[in-house]
Amino acid sequence: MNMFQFLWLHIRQGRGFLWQAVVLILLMAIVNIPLPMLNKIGLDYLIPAGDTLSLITLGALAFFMRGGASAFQVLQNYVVHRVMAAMGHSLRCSMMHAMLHAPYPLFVSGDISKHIGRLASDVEHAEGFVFDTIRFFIRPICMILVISTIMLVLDWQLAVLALIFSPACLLVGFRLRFALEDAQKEVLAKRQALQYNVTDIIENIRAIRCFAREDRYQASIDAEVHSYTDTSITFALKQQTLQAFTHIILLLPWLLVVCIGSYRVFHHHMTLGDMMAFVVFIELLRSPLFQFIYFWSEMKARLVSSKRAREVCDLPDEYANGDSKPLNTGSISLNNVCFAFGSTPLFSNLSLDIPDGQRVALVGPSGGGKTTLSNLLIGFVHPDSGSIKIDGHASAALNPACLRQHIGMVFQDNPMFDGSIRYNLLFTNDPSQDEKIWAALTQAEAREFIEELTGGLDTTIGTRGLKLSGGQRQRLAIARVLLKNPRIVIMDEATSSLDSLTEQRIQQAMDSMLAGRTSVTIAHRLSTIVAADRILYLENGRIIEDGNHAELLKRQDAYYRLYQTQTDGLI
Amino acid sequence: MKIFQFLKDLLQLAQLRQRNFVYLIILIICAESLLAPTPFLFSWLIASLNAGLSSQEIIEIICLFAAATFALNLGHALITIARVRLSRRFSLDAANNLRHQFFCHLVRLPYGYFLNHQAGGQATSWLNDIDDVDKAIAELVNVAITSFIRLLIFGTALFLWNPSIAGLALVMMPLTVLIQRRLRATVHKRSREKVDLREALSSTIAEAANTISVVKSFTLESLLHKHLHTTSEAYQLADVSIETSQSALRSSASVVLIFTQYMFFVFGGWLVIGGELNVADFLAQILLITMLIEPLNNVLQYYNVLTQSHASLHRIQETLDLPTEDNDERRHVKQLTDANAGASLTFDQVHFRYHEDIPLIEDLSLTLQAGETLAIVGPSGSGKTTLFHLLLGLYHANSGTITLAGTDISTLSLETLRHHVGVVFQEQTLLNTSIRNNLLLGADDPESITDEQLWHILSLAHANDFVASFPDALDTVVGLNGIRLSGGQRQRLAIARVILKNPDVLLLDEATSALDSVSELHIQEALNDVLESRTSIVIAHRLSTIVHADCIVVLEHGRIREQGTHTELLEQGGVYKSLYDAQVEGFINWEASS
Repeated sequence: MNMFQFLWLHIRQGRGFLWQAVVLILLMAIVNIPLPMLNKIGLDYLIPAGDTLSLITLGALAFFMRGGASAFQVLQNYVVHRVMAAMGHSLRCSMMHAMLHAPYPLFVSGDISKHIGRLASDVEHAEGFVFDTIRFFIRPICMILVISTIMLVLDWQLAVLALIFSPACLLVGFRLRFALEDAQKEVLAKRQALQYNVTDIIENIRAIRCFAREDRYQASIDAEVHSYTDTSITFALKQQTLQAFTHIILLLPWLLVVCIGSYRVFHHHMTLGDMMAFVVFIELLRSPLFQFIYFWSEMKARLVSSKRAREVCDLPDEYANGDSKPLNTGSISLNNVCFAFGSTPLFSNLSLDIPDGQRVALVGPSGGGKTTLSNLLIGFVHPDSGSIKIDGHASAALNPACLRQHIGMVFQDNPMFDGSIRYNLLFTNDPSQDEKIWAALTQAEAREFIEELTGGLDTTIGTRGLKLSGGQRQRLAIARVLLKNPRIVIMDEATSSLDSLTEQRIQQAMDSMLAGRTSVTIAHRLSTIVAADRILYLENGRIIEDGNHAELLKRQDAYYRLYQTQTDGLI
Repeated sequence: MKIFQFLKDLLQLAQLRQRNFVYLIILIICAESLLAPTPFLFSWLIASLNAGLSSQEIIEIICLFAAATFALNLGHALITIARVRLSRRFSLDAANNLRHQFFCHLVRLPYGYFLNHQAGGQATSWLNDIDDVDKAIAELVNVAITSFIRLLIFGTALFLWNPSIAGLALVMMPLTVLIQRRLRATVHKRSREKVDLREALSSTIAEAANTISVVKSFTLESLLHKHLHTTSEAYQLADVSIETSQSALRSSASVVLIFTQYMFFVFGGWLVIGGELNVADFLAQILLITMLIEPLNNVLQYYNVLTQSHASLHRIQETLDLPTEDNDERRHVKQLTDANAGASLTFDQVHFRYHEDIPLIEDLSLTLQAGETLAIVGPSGSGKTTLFHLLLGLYHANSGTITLAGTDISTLSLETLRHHVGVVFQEQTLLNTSIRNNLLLGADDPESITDEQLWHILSLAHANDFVASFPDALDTVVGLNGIRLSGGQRQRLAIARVILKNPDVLLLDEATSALDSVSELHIQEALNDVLESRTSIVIAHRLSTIVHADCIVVLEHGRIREQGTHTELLEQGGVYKSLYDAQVEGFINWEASS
């Protein structure tokens, strides 16, 4: 699929309006162009004949023709924008669809965020692609063709002379315009750097605040603004120079027509009306020429944006492949799984069997691969080789949606949406299932604090749930997994930000939640781990100890040491 | 009229130096005056065609006409180029002024503002808004004033030449303005709608990216896409409506202009027939009127630019009107009165609530001598982190006082306060820059810090190993929000930078929660050295990290439930005891059963 096919796919969304737009443009050209001829009739025939009445009629006719053309213009603009907006909508939706369905690693690497920052402008530019093609390419071509024809019919010699200048104007115009592009690129790059800087500072505002370094970062923004300003001035200078030159160049055909025209009028080779008609035609030619230059120079930027939009649409869709199979049990089996971050291997030939209903705890130092293992299980990342089987089905052959419906996850830092508590639990604002929600909240020890909020379940909890404390968010996250009711639960440091008392209460809730389910729990705190059926000690991607609490303590090895550091000072 | 007020605002923003502005106007007048003679030259040329001159004379006249017209236009172009440097500087100064003012203000808005807004996602729209205003100011000089002056010069010329025709044009102009007023209201309203929708779109998708682990694990993609689809559809409609109203605006203006033109054609033709006007003048005056159209259109179009940027400036203004956190007059104390006495801390009947109806801290009184360590425990939501926010001046107590070294912190300038207080939070954000720069956030004088010092501090925070393992070491860029680092690594860097800051009062909020027990133990040792000599408050869930504190406070619902040392509290057998039991229970039970 080439670029144009790609764009066409989205333009098609507004195809109902597309042909209307073309018809309107043609109508515009037809109505608008013969107008200068009316001037000629008035000048050459009516005024010399002293026919006032006809002159008034002529004036009225011309006015209505132009008025009609203006009305067409509005209609045409409406229609063209319908096409554009429909295309923009279609493109925007496809891009967002592709982003949302892109594999998890792309989010972590920041690729997606980069695309998000450019989404609005990319769509606008791609939309502009259509608009520009219609307004600044198709229409000017129609205009130029019709005008040149009429001029040639009126006086072919003068017409040829006047028209010869047009390509020359175009050439010079292009040259100057391209000289501008580099300057423009620089301006845009500076502008983007400024934007990234500002975003970054805002995201880190609490740290900057706490160190009272506002001035330092204010200064860094100011510096960036200044360099942006300097490039902008260079650009403006070049631009204005270009405009001034273009103005002079476009004056030439006009001068030519007036000078040669006058000479021919003097010798009675043409009438004054003809000459005036020529003058008006030359004026009319001016804007299509300008539009041409504009079109070609903008096209590049438009194409870059369109290409980027396409890149986004072409992002791999992780849900595109794999079958949906009914998953029943929660058995997990890893067979010779290898996984590497770039060139750094993490797992090599990791094998592991977790029978249905077992509670497994993963322990070990940071960087040992605990989080990666849970990411592998839920299909956020995929093994380089080897297989993972869930309920006997190879997870690589399963549709991720099917797999993820089967697995529930609680994270260390549970982000919340900027919406109501209800929305964050069941992802709907429909209150019909509130009873279920309250039941889950009770189980997750979260009922109490939500009841204290005046808004109840309708309370909005702010960006990333920042209005709640870490523990409160944790309990909501547990409640939403309870509502999801999956066969397998993965908890990545789920209780690390809870105080012991709350943790203890949640522990009871979790016990009842985990009963009968397969669970994989990553935890640093031993009290969370002790209750597990089986403890895996993961270090450098290898399981170095495997057994229950009592067994591992008896070995007096890695787990035992961990236990020691933890209980040190307490017992 | 609102729009004139806005123009005044713009000019005020520009803080124009009057002399520069006068130069600018003089240059514009010079340039535009050079264009005015063209119609007169034209009239002269046409008139000489019928004056019975010889072919030779006509050629001379034509050449003279061409040379004069060309020279005048060239002059116009050259002066315009010369003018641009002045005018662009003028508009950029204004816009930069606004940018500077805006970001100055933004970084000083109360902390709560950032929690209630999708602040990060808004950066784009803020910058766009300022760009709109920038454009309005730039075009004010380059388009609006220039066109207006041209209109004045050409209009005056026309008026002097043929008053009756000029009168006709004058009558038509107010009509144009009248027609446009109606449409403008629509554009204004819709523009705002459109901007809001655009913001909603980008913040929704940005939010999805921020919460991607949840989105993916709950397979919410389709649901979110449906939301986005609806918003995008509304955006599409607003867009079409704006563009259509705008093109109607332009067309309505041009219809009136065309009407004027043809009225003039008929009226002038009638004058020619009656012998009151010669053909040459008639044609030249038509030319002159044509030359009026472009500047008039420009002025009217500028009105659109103004309308759009009006909405933008309005939104910027809304943010600028929010009070900054340091606008409190009482915060004038720049120096702790008795800095050498050490940093003692007192809380005296402190009350605080975020929302009217949810008290977070109630009647809290505490005293902490210089050099003491206070540990706070309590269930989540009991107000521990809030206490830190109060102490740092991120929020302000509703009543009661907090004193640092004998000075009420509400009278301290925030800079001074934060100079003395250092903090490590549980969720640590890092700037998307090098590790070095992130550490230097803690340095008062970043230039004087050597790499050796940084490595020393990193080793204190047990962060030297992983930093050294990166190929770029200190120059490693950590990614947006430090995404390239693990939670534990971020925490260690945060600890390192607070060690570099070397504050009198140190606040640790679950500073080691993302670390495994072994790393935590190491850091705890390092921190113990740091904590030794300073006043500190530690929040931790793991009791092993706080048993040695000079004083332990159990907070519940924003009130102090228990207070004392570890042994005292265990003897009391209250909440702390049960917390303690809860934490060791796992082992004790097991040991009992084995």
